[in-house]
Amino acid sequence: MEYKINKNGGYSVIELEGEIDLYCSPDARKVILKELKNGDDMLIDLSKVSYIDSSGIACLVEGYQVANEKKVKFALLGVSQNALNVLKLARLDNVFKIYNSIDEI
Amino acid sequence: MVESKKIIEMKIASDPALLSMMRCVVLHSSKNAGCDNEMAENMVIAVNEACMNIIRHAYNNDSNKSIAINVFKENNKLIFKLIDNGNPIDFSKIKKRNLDEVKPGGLGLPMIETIMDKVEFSTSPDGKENVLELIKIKH
Repeated sequence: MEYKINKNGGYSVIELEGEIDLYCSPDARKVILKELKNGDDMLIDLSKVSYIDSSGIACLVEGYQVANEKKVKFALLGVSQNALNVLKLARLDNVFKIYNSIDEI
Repeated sequence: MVESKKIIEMKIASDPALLSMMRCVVLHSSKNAGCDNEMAENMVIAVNEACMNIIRHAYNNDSNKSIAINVFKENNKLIFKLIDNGNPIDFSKIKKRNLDEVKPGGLGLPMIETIMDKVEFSTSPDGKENVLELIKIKH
C-alpha cells in the first residue's frame, strides 16, 4: 500500500493506493488517525485501491467514528468498483458520504 | 451423478503478507472453474476473509502456522475447504453481527455468508483441525 496526503479546500485528502488488506491496514489506520488529530475535514481517496478487505473497511469505520466525535467531516472520494463492492457487502455504502470528485463537494 | 474434482490444493503460511498471492490463485482458479469476473472476485473476498479469521482467531496472529486451501468443482458447485490446526472453534462464540450497527469489527463472517450459499464449520475426526467449507452454487 502507498499513500499521499494533500490539502485541498480545507480538506485533508488521503489518497490510498494498492491493496488495503490485513498486511497493511494497520499502516492505513495509523495514517488516518494521525491525520485526524489535525482537526481538518477529511477525504479518503479510494480511486487507486485495487483491493480492500474488512480490516481496511474497519479503518474507515474507525476514522468515521473519530471524525464524528471531533465533529469534522469524513467522506470517501472516487471509490473504486472493487472497494464499492466490499462496502456494499458490509452494508456501509450508505453510511459514508461518497463523492466521485472533489468538485462534487 | 456427483462428480467432484479437486482443482487446487495449496498450503500457505498464516502470514498476512501472503494473502495477496493466495487471492491471485483463488481468482484464477474460480475463473477456471467457470465463474464470471464478478463471482470470481466475490470468491476472493470470501476466502480472504476466512483466511483472515483463521490468522487472527485460530492462530492469534502467529505467522508461522499453516492454512490448507483446497478447491473442488462439483457439478455446478464450487467448494473451498480451509483447514487449520489452531485454537479449536468455539461455536458458541461465533456471533451473528448485526450489519446495521456501524462499528469496525466482525464484518468478515457476515460478508462470507452474504457471498456464499453455504458456510459450514466442523472439526476433523481426530479433533486436531478446524475445517471450514465455503460452498457456492453457480446458477
